[in-house]
Amino acid sequence: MSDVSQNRTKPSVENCNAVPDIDRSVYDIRDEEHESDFYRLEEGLTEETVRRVSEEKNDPDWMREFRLKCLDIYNRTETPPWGPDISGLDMDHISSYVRSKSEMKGSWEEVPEDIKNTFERLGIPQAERESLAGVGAQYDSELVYHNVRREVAEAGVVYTDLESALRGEYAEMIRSHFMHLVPPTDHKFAALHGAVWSGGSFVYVPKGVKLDIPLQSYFRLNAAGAGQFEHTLIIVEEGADLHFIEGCSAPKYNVANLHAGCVELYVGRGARLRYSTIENWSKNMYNLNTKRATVAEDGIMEWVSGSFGSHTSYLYPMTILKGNRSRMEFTGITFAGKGQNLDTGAKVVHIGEQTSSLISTKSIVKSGGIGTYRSSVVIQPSARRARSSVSCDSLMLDAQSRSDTIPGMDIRTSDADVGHEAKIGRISDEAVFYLMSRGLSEEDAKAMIVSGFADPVSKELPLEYAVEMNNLIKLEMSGNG
Amino acid sequence: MDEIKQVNELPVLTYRFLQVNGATLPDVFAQQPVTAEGAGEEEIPAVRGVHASSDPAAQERIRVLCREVRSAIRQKEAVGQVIAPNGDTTARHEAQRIRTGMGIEIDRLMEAGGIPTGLLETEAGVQVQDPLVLSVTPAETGLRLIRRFIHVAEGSSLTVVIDTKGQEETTAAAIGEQTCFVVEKDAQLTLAVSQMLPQSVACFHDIGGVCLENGTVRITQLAIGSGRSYQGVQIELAGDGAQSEDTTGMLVRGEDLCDMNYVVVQRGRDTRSLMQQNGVLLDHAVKNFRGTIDFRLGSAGSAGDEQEDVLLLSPEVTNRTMPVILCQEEDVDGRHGATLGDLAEEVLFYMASRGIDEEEARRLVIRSRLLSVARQIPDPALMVRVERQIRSILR
Amino acid sequence: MSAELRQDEILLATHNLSVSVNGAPILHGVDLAVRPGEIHVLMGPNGAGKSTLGFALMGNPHYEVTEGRIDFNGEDITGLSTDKRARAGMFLSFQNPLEVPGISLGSFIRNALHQQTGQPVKLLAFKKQLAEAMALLSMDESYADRDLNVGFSGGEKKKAEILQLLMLRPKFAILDETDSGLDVDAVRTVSRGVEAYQQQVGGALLIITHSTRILEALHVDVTHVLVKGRLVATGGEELVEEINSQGFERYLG
Repeated sequence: MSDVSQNRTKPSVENCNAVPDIDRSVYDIRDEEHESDFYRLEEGLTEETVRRVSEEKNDPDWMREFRLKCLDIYNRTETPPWGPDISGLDMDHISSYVRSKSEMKGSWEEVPEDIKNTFERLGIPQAERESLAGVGAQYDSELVYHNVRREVAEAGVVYTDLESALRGEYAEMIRSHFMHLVPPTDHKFAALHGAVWSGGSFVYVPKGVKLDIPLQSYFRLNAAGAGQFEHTLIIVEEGADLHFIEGCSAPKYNVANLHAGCVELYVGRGARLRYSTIENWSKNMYNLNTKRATVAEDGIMEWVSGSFGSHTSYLYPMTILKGNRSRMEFTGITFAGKGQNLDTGAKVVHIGEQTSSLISTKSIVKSGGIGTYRSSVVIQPSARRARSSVSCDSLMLDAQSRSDTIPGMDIRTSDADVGHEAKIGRISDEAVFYLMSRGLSEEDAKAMIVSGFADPVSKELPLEYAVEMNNLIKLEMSGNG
Repeated sequence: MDEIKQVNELPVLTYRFLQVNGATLPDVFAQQPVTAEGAGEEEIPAVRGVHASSDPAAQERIRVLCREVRSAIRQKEAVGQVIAPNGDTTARHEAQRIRTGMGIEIDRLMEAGGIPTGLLETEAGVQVQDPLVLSVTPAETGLRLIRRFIHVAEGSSLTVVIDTKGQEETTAAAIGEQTCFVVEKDAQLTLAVSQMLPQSVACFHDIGGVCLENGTVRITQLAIGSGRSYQGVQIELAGDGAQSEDTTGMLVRGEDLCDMNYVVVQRGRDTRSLMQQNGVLLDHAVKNFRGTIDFRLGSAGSAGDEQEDVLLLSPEVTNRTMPVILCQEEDVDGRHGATLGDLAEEVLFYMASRGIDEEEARRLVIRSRLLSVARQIPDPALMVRVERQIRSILR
Repeated sequence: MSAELRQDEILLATHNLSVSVNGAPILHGVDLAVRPGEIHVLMGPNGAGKSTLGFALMGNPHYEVTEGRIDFNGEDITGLSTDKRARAGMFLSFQNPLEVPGISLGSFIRNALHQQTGQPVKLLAFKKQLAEAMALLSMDESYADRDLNVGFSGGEKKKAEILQLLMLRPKFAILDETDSGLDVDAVRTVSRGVEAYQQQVGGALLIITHSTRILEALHVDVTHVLVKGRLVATGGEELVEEINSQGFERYLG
């Protein structure tokens, strides 16, 4: 298995484009024949397209059947009526999204201006920028990657891409976990994901293994081709401990503008999983990601989630506290600037006794951005002596933007302790004045206050990510983000 | 009549599995209302300084008032580029003459039943001292609908007590009320609504109103009785300096349902709103509460606060809560808080150390919670009845 | 001590009492005997388990009796619920009295009285008694209508506890650091209340304290020293003086 991974450490367009060119005829004509009804049909998501994807992936039979079942569900499911507008998403051309990852170009010229500027401001050298352009972000050298790999392997941890895992010794494990936590019936985009998923990571941490260093997925994404429908499956066995960092840390340029990934996390008895993400997709992205964790007895799930990029986001990582005394903590920040509609939050279901959840989010809006905090806390009758505490703070930076808070609670037992608080406000003039009286410009003063507002989130991040997040905030605050 | 679709619709939709996006009224409200002759007209006691009428001239007067108020609201909306929230449902209710908490379906129900609106009006500058008490009882059987409109003229003040009650166990009866109001500049309205119906009577009370410049409305609602109760309140703080305070106390028991949708839309500058929920759930009770503070563009300097405190006293209750804050204005201060659960163990121990057992401790807390709301209703006789009602339920 | 009480009668006794909190043993084999009307003082360094003893005597469900037993009025009350202990005549003045929103201090006391006596409490007589007790404690009468302990200062909360002591008239009261955190005047007021309780009710007291100020006007019968969950010394009033001047050093180690 590790051999397969080794092969993929050298990102290159060829490598990512491991899928054979058998169907070029269908996709390549697309642009010229745009108006043709025949090709339109081909470009919509058809059974044939899905079969072809499955064939290219060399899927096992059950996976092919599963994809087709998902397609059927996708066709029968309506888009949710409550979220941001996604009419800008051209669903008729869904097959081109599916294919687009293999058409990713490595040319710096094709990278949109705003992302180039971001790279420049983040101080990423020219040489690295060029490699970033084609295959997604990779700040660190391959050496770092190898180091991570070695330590991981020594601990007995499996860390590979999902496609190869599907055929290796973990095939059965994948089969019994894949989209069991996020069934395709969950919502339309979960069904879409099930039909066309491609790429992603599989992590297995054996019983009792505690990893000191975080695993970072963007290497994996690069290697696997950075698809828009990547699937992440992580199993942390009893008493094990893992910190996983999702690799959207750098701005990512994608040809297509739909991202419908899926993350399934299984946290065993007394195990702990921390899942961190700083998402900064380019601002033409529709990010319809589904993330879910189930936690066994005494297990701990921790989410750290920062949403800065994308045009439109639907993102509500969900935790199912199944085992007694299992716990979850969610720390999130969302910064919606010009042209962005970011609908984010968290969901938790308490099933086990004495389970506890702690959700704490920060939301910042500016320059016409729309930020929505949306959540649900469900306490089932079995969850005796459950505790839940939610706090969400929003910061309005001007009156051209909007910030909404839409939390929901459904409590089915008296033997629970549920608290909720939310605040919305703005930067106090006094605070700005105070900082300006110490010589800071108004812009710097405000940026400093916003960084302070975001501090509870950056504290939860590894240093390099915290620095990056603060840079992103400064960038957004300077109005050039 | 068709099935009554969504009432108490959340101003912004959310996940369907939470089942709080709206409620469906039971079939009992789909029948023709009783007393065809002079249907729904209620007797309004004569109080000095208040004019009451439900004649055609009054209907015309209401139309004019609503037109004026809507144009005042439109002016406020013209201040800039309005961005709609995700899942916005307001468009469906735009046709309402005054936006109410339960929404347009109640207007349609009233219109289809041919229910005229009773107008209560004060004279400008007149402070009406005595509370105007409206006594509402269901018909022996069938549906009774009542529609009223309160106009508190500039600089005047008025207190209206709506006392909805019924004899024990009226069969298959239902009662629906809609109360709209306009509080003009510098005027004040105190609205006390008490619902102590028998458990077998389904009811709704749909409230909606507008406060103009420095207008103040204070609403106190008690819901202890009906087995199926739906309440909606939408208050538009349209004028600068307008204020609202809205306190609700409820006790839900048995298999009963209490479904609520409370909305405060803050449009004027320096407006203030306070929403308080004080509830107790027993047995298999189901309570849905939606509470929204909506800061519109132009509401700079405004503050809104929403607090919910619900005691869950049985392991079988269902408590759904949606505390929503919508905001498109920088300079506002909005907050909400909720505390849901049983009495804290420490409280029970403290009480026990004084010789008060668990059951009695709960009874004590339930009573004091509801009475603290009831105390705000300016009708001493009502307090006594509330006491009696609570006692009979807790027995 | 009241004349009618017999010397051999024991009001409250613990026999080899051991108590755990969340599985951690705190008290080890404590033996205590309090006769009617006696004043006992319990001293000891921080963390010795003094408050634990108070809570265990009052039957807080978080404090698990792992060994031994508690007798009150000649009956084994080890398994009795807190409210029944209170009705039997026990009282605990909390170190940190709880805030209970929604219930006024006055109606809380009236309700507790009703629960303890099983008799209806006559409003006028109750009000008169309450006013007298509040006057004794220099409490403004408006406190009777305020929510129980909500927004009360530290001193007011302690006074409200002593007010309940005076109104509920228990046979045996535990005062858990009722004097801590109070200024000189407030201690004097509280002490006056305790004295009045002794005179009016003749009840026994177990006073948990760090200082001697609250004891000045009272006659101490027995002093106990608790260290690491064990009673290491028992003596008379002179022991209070000794600890006051020399501390607990002798008993540590």
